Amino acid sequence: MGDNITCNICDKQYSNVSNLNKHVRLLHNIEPQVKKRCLVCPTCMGMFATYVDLRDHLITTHKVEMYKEEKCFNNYAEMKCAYVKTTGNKSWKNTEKVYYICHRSHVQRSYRYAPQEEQHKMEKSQGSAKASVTCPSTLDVTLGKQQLNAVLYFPHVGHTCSLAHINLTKTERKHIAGKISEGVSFEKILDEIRDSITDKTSLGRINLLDRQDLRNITRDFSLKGNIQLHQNDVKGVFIILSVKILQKNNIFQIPIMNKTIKCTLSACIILQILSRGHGERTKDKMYERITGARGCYRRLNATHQIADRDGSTGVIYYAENIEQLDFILHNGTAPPYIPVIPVKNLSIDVIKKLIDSGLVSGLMVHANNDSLDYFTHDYQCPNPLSSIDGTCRKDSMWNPHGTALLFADIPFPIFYLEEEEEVWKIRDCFKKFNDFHYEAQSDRPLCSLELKSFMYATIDTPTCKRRSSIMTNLNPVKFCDPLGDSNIWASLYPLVEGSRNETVPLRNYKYIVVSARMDTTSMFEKTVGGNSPVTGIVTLLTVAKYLKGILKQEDIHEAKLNVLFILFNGETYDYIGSQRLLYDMLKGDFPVKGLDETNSILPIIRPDDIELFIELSQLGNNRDELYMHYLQNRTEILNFYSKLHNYSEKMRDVPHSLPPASLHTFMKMLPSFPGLVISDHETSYTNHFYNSIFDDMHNIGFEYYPNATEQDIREDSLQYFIANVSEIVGKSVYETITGKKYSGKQTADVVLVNELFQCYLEDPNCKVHKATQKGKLPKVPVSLYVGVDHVANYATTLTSLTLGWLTADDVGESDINCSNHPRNYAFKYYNMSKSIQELNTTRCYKITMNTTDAISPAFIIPDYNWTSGQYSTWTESTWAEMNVRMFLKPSSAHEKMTIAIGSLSVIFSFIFVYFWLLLFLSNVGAGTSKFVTLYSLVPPREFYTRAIGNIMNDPAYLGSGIMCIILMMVLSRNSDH
Amino acid sequence: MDLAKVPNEKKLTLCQWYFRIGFLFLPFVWAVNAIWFFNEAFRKPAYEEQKRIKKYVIFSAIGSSVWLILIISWVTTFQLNRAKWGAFADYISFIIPVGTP
Repeated sequence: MGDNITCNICDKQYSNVSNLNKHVRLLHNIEPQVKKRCLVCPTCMGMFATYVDLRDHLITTHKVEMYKEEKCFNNYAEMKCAYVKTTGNKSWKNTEKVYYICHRSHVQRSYRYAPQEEQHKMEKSQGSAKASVTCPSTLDVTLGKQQLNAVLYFPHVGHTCSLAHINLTKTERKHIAGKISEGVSFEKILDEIRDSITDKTSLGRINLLDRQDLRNITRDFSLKGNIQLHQNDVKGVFIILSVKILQKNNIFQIPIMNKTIKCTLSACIILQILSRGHGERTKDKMYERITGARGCYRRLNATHQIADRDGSTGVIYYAENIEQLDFILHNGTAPPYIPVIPVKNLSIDVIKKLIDSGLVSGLMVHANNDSLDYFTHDYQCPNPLSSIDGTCRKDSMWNPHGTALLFADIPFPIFYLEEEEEVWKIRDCFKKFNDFHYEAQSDRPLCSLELKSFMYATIDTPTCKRRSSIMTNLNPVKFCDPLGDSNIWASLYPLVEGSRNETVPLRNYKYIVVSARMDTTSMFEKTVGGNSPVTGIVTLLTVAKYLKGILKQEDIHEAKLNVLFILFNGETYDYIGSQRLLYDMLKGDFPVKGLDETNSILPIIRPDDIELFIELSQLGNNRDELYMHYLQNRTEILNFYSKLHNYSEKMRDVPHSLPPASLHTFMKMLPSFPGLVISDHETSYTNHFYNSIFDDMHNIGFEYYPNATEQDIREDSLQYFIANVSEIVGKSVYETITGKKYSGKQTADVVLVNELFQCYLEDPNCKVHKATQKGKLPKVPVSLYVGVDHVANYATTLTSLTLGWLTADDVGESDINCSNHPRNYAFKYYNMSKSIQELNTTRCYKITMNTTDAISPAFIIPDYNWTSGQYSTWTESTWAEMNVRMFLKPSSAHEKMTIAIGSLSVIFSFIFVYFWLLLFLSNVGAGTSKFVTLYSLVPPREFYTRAIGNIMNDPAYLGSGIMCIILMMVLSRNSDH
Repeated sequence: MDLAKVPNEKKLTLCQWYFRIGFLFLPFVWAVNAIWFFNEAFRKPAYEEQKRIKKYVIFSAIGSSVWLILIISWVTTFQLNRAKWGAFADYISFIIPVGTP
C-alpha cells in the first residue's frame, strides 16, 4: 500500500516509520533519536526543535519583528487568536507553568529517519484550522503563589487572524445547546444571531455561526431525540429564565473572562496547593515509624523451626550495659518490656536471662561503635547435620565462639537497628517518659515499641510444605519457600570443539574443579560476608583470570584435562548447592539436564571425571600461613600439595581434617573423592565474625584503592595477599595439567582483586560490574543471603557474569549480532568491556558460564523422606509485613477508663436504639399512643410477643438466624490473625 | 408462614415432615421444628393432632441436642488436638490458620 518511506542511506522502502527505524538501528548501526518535536517555519519550511530557535530564526532570517508582552488579559476576545494547550503543566519550586501555543500551529512529532518531504502535514481539502506550519506566537502562563503572569509572544506568522478559525467558547456553545434543546429551529437561531449584529466592531466568532456549527453542537451535547418543547418543569423554567436574563444583557455577546474570574481561579489553585499534604491519618499521628530496623525470618528444617516468634509490643527499656538490663528484669513494674541493647551484649546468656525472666516480649539490638572481639551466631560446628562425622570434635571446634543463636527458637522477636538517628529517637522517648520513678511506671503513659514480624509457617518444613499443598484447603496460603538460588559454573576452555554451528562435545576429558561458596547469612536481614564467602569468591575469580592467561587451549587438549570453576550457593544451610549439583551429576544431569551419553551438545560430567577438587574457603584473616585440609592420603592430593608448597613456604598441610566446606557433600557420598580445602585456619576459624554482620571489610583489613595501578597498592595489603594465593593455586593447577612448571612472567592481576573486593564489600557499581552489565545498583553491598528459590539474587547474576567474562573468549568486534550468535548449550555470547581499564571499548565474548539450580534435592524428589536427613530441608517462612513502630502506651488506669467508656457507650447505644425502635413500632401500630409509650418507659407486652412470635413462627427466620450466629462465630475465629 | 392460620392436619404434616427431613443429617431442621412447634405442642389447648405433634417435637428436640453435644465435643477435641494430630488434622481442615502450630 503505502511503501513511501525510504531509508536515507540505502533507499529501501518501508510501510511505516517504526519498521524503518528498526532497519536503521539494526543495519546501519545508528540509534534513532526517538520522537523529536519539529517546528516548521511558516516562511521557509525550515525545521526547529524549540520555539526559541524558531523565533530567533524568524528574526534573523526573515526579519520578522517579534516582540513579547507581559500582560494580564481583560478579555478573552482580546487575544484574537485562541491558544491551546498541548503539554501538561510543568511545575518546579513554587510555581507552575502552562504553555499555550497558537491554535493554528502544527507541531510535528516525527522520527528522524522519515524523509523530510514526508514530514510536512498535508492540507485537508476542505481546509482546517491547523496550518501545516508552526506559528511562533505562544502564550506562557506562570501560575505563581500570588498571581498569574502571562508572557505573550507576537505576532502571528503564517496565517491571518481570521475569525472563522476560532472555536466557539464553552458558554456560547452551552447557550446555543439550550436553544436547540428547547426545540428552536436552526433557521431561527441563525436568524436571531445575524439580527443581533449592530455594528462592525462587535463582530465576533458567534456571528459567523453556521449550520455545521449547530450540527456539531447537537452532536457534542447529544441533543438528538432529546428535543423537548417548553415544559414548566424545573429544567424548562430554568432555560426560559436564563434565556430571558441573557436577552436583557444582550444575548450571545462573547462572554468576558475578566480579572475577577482569573483571580478566583488563581485563588483556587493556591488554596489547593496550600491544602496539599495536610491530610494526616490518626494512625500516623499515634505511631512513630522506626525505619531501617531489620528483623529476622523464621526458617525451618525437617525437624525444627528457628528464629524468633511473631510480633509483639512492649515498653522500651534502653539498657547501656548488662547491669542496667538486670535492674529492669528485677524491678520492672510495667511488663512486658522490650529492652534496647547495644549489639555487643547480644549473647546466649542475655537471651537466656530474658527468656527466663518472662518480662520481655521483644528485643531491639542497636549498632554502636564498640569494638567487638567476636560475634558469630552460627553453630560451633557449622552445618552439623550434613557434615562428615568426626570432622568437628568437641575439643577442637571450627567456630568456637559460635552461639548457635541463629538456629535457636527464641520466643520473642529480635530486631537490629543500624541507623543512629532512629536509636536516638528511641532513646529520647525513653528518657522523656520511661526513665524515672520505676516503681510507679504502670501509673503513667510509657514509650513503647511494636515489633511486627508475623511469620506464617510453624513447626517444621514437612508441616509447612504439607499445609501449602492441601487440596481441600478453602484458603490456600503458601506457608514457606525452600531456600535456594543458582550454582554458577564455567569451564576454562569450552567443553566442545569445532566451528560455530558444528560443535562436537569433547568426551573422555577429566576435570580439575576449583570451587568456592557463594553465600553467607546473619541473624538479621542484612549480610556482608567479608571473609566468608567473599575472599573465596574473589580468589576463585582471580584464579580463573590468571589461568585463562597462562594456560593455552592446546595444553588442555593435550592433557585431556580441563578446569571447571564452580560457585556453590546455599552452602550455609546444609550445603544446598553442592548437594544438588552432586545429585544432578550422579543422575547425569550436569551440565545440562536430560541429555544422554551420546548427545551432540555437551559432554556429561560425572563425579568420576573429577580428577581433583580444590575448594577455596575463607582466606582473609591470616596472612602468615595457609592450610590445605584433606581427609585421605591420595596421590593426586599429595602431589598437588607438594606443588603448592613449592611455590610458597607459607602453605601447610593438615591431613585428616576437613573444615565445613562443600567438599563434605562429595566425600559423604563418595568417600574416596579426591578433594582438598585451602583456608586460613588450621583447627578453628581465624574469622571471629563468621556468618554475621561484622564479617565486613574491616574484618579482613580491606582498603580500596580507587583507580589504582599495580604500583599504587601496598605490598602488604589484602589485595596482594589474595593475588599471591591465586597465583600459587593457578601455577599449581598449570603444573598439574601441563606437567611442567610455569616459566612465564605473568602474575595474578592485583588491580582486578582490588576491584572485585570493592564489588562485593562496598559498591556493586564497581568497574568489574560496569564492564559486564549495564544495570545500576544501589550503593550498598548486594545481599549474599541465599534467599528463597523463586527469587534470583543480584549477587549470583553479577558473579556469574563476572566469572563468564573472566573465562570468556574474545570473538571479535562488539556488534548487535553478538547476542544473536547461534545458541547452543555450550556458549552464550555477550558484549562486554574489553577490560576494567577500557570500559568503553566493548568486544563480543563467547562465554562458557552457565548456572544450575541450587535447590535441595529434598524438594524435587517425590515423596522424599523428610526424616532421612540426607539432604538440606531448609525453608523460609512467608510473612506479611516486617516493621517497627514506636508509640506512647497509656497508663493502665487510662486504658481501663477507655474500655469502661467504650463499653458504657455501647450499652447506651443499645438502650437508645431500643427506645427508638419502640417509638417507631408504636408509631406504626397505634399512631396516637406514641408519646405515652415513650414516656412510660415500659415496653408494651405486645411488642415482645409480636416480634418474637414473628421469628418463632417462621422456619426461614429461625434457620437463617442460627446460621448467621454460627457464621459470625466461625468468621471471628478465623480472622484472629 | 403463620401457624395460627394453618389447619391442624396441615400442622401435623408439617411437623412430621420436618422431623423426617432431619434424619438427612440436618440437625438444624430438628432444632427449627422443636422451637417452631413448641407452642403448638405444649401451650395450645388440646386438639386431636396435638399428641403426635408433641411426640415429634420432643424427638426433634432430643435429636438436635444430641447433635449439639456431638458437635461441641468434636469441635473442642479438634481445636485442642489440632497441633498434636499433625498431618491428619491438616488433611481434615478446610482452613489452616497461619502462624500457629
